[in-house]
Amino acid sequence: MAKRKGAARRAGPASCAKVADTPAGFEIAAPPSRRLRTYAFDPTLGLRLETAVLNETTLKVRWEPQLQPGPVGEYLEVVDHDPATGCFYAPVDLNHKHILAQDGLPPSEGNPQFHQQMVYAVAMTTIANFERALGRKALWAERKRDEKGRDIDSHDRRRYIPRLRIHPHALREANAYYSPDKKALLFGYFPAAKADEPGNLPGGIVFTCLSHDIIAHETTHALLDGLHPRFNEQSNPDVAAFHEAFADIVALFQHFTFPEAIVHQIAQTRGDLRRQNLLGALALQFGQALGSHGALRDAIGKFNENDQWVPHDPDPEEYEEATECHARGAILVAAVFDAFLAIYRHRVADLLRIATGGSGIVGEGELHPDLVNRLAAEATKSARHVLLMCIRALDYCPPVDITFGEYLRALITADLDLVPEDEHNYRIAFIEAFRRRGIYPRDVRTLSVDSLVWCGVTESERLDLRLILPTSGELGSLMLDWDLDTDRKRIFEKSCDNRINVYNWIRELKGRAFVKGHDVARAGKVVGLQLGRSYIPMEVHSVRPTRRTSLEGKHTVDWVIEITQRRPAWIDAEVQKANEAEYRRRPAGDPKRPKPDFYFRGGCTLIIDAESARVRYVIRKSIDSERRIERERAFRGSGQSLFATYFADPSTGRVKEPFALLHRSV
Amino acid sequence: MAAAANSKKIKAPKPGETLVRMYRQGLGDCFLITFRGDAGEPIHMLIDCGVWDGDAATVAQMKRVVEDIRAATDNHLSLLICTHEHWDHNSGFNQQRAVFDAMTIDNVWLAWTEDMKDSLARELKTEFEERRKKLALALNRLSQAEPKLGARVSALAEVGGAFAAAGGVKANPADAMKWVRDLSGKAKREFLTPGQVFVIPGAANAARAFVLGPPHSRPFLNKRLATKKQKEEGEVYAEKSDAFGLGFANRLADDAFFAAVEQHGKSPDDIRGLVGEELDLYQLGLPFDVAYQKRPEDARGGFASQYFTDGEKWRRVDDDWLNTAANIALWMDKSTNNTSLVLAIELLPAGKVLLMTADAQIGNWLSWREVKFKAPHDAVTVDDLLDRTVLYKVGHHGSDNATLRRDGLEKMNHDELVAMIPVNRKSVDAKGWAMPFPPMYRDLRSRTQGRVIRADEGVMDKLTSTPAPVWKEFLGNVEGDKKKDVFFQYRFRHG
Repeated sequence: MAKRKGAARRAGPASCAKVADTPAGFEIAAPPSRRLRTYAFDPTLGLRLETAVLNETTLKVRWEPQLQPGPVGEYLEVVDHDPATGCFYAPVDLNHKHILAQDGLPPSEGNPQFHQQMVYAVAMTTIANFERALGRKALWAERKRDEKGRDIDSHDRRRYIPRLRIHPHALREANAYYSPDKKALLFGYFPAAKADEPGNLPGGIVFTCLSHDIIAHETTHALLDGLHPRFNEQSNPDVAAFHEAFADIVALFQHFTFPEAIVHQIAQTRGDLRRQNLLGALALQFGQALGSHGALRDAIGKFNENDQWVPHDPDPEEYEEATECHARGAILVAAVFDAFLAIYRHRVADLLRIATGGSGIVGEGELHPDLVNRLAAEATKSARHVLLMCIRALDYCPPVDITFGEYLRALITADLDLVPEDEHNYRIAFIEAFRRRGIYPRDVRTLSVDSLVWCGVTESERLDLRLILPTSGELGSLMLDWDLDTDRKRIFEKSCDNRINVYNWIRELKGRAFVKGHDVARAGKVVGLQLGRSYIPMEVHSVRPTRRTSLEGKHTVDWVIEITQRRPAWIDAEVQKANEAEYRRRPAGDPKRPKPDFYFRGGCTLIIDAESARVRYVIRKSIDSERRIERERAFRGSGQSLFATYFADPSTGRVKEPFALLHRSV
Repeated sequence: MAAAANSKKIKAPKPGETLVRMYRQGLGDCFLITFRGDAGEPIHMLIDCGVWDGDAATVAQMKRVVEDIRAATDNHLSLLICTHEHWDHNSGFNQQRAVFDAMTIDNVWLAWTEDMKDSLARELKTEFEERRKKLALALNRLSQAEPKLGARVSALAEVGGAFAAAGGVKANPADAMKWVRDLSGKAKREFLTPGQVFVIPGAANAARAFVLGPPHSRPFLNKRLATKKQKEEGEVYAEKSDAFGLGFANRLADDAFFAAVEQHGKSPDDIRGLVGEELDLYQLGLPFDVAYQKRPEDARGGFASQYFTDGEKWRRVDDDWLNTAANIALWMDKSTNNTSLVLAIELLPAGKVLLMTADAQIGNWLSWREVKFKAPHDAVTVDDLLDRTVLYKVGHHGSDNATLRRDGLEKMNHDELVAMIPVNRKSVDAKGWAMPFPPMYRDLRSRTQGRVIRADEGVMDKLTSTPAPVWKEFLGNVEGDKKKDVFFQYRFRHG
């Protein structure tokens, strides 16, 4: 192995004719993907005869030429340390020819090397979906603190995390979580609680790292954290719920892109097609696999006494009432699922008419295999579209304090930018599904595509913004080549530089404008910032390119620029007035400076045309919004989990593993 | 400083008056209630005597408090109550054992959970003790790995040596409770069950006690609070998923965790020494055949060398699995709080109520709604008692999940309502606990028109809306100087 690698490295452009082990002048291209077998659900399904056939799937994972035993690749490193047992498990070498020849190790609960293979394959698949949707390489969340807990400077190269670590056997409890501090996924294993659930051996060991949905869910937490680190801060009841729901949405729809499960279900349900219950039933099975882990549960529907899946009638009041983050997250998952069903129905309506001679009524007996395959193809295609749409919307979200309504606006705007002509009414399906669940943005007049698309700026605001935003010349000097082929370390470094540049431009412009007597404060308001106050620091949170299709069908690039600010805040509004004034007077580090109860964050996401520097959308979370701070006060005052109450670090209020907490029952 | 220099005997209250003394030992409960006896003598009832912290100053303060109790009661308690087995409610019985041993104690009241003749109580106790022992081992390891978290969890679980401080008395709430239980040798002992009504011994004309909690039923004890209805806006201050967790989620999983803790640290030689059935048993606890295991030494120099790199220490996960112990500890702590004995003491003849809830969590509160009192009190309901409440001893030092909102505080409508909070700012700040919980505290202030007395800071500020005469009358009933006294006392008039 090592020898071949060395030979390959020597074979530069000058000596490309001489490639080891191949006939002269003929080079075998690397394959596009590596085929790896995994459980499609989790091992329990394989123990039931009727589901055994659909429990294995083969994932096509991007071919990583430098993959090391572990597996350790470009994005991931699986380190199989079982600290409770005090040992390591030998790492799998996916390049071993025996493994390559059989699409990876066969699924097995008893072989830790298969566990390593499965977490790698599913996590890589999730990463690939993110990259496909966003059109650029994914980066993990940066490292913010060093060993001693000191902040690492925002352009310090030590912040770069090349690989997410995965520990398939790190915990001895019914839990798995993403650790934002360690940039790692930790999976647990535990004895099954009850023997009465099919497939569970009483006391048999359940491995959370063998569930497709749990792996995809946790990997999504990590990817989302890489893109939106402030979504870790629970400033309203939707934020934590969004993290959970989004992780479930990705797990669910990624699962629907596996044809095996879909084909099997469609063939099984025969005449029930009109009721479209199969996909719901399947979704429920995913939910069961996640257990209390996921937001999914029975928000979509449940099985009645006759073992038939019945959809759950959406109740707009649920969104008002559900405050616990999983219950609330379930509403978002259910809304997206409703939209998916509508899209699927729309796509197969003609097929069903053709297959039934126009009646829409399916006859007795098994469905024709061709019809099954066509329906399954439409289902997987719909699922892939919904999945990519949901991920792509992340570029159109506010940088802090997200709500479900804003996510809907992000979905609609992102889709409009990618697919100007909405042939299959995807956007209408989403709006309708969200409306039925009672999810509205706070500040739009009607629920139509036009009013849900993020707002641009008026002409007078555009003039104001010229005081503070970079010019087209400046934007042109930013590095733009952050796509699917660029080296990730270089992307990280350049993106740091981009952020620093944008920050400096805004600061210089502010200074210049100030001299000229322009109203910087007014310009700041346009984008939700308070400029010109030294006690409210500004951070250029992210500068990244995103691709869109113009109305003429041309592919162009926009910059997504996120700028955030924080203000000291106190739970009591009366205290706020006095303390903020005092805080403002005293310099940082002054022991008499009042300690805030929390930091209130605001800012904006700007979508700017890369060529003309024209601001296309302003997604604003005003730092001086009194209504919003009041809402956050009420939310923060309403309590935290028991674990956080008792075990959070009193000096910082931080809990060590926020996601561990969300996934536990206490 | 002379111990409790100003301690003096409490004179019998006037007819139609009752005194409630809240001691200021630190974070913990200790209440002395003095009734006018049937023969015109003072009748003393002591509810709990404990403090969380174990530093020298706190222990010395506890000594002064118990000295005051001795002097105030003239060494004679008609009734001693210990509400539940937590150190911040019973440490004093160990720390000042000699003083209590020398006292005359006529009656002892405990919750049914302490009655070892009760099969349910026995079951709960056994389960609990077993867990506590296993947890101690896990927490020991957690403390080695993460001293800060370990100390906090151990303190909560009351298993470690966290309290073995200057006072020289190690935290042992079970032993303190045993001392109270064993008072049956010299005192008349009662185990109380919800629905019962007792006269106050020696003060039948002054007051009687309605028992509200803890509920006596396994299904109810196992009932989890996480139902949607109970989380509805307004019913509670904070939504906590489990406030009555005497049922354990997955005992097998917890046992497996404890087994792993026991085996952890066994040397490879120990394991190599296992043969036959011993080896089989050991293997059962493992996820894979031992053949797959690699020693850390092999990983260090080879396939997992990045895990051991110096610069990568922050990413290690050697001890994260031990955090499970924190969860189990939390669960156990809440369970014990929920076994709190809750009394509504009705003052006669006016029918005003002193609501003594100890640390009852929301589950305990909710169970009161099921309580039926026996004739002749069968017309009395919990809403009725709440409506007549003039003293709310704020539950669990004012924490967020020990005061029910809609069916609790919002039903306390009496216009003489006073609240006493046994809390200590210094102690809770050091721990980062929100006690009293701000939203609950705000409501408490408005319900009581500002008549809130904190153990650490005394009378709180008047509300601007409180009429001057009301405030003047309130102040007139308060006794206790923040600097000089080890207590604050309030005089209730119910003639």
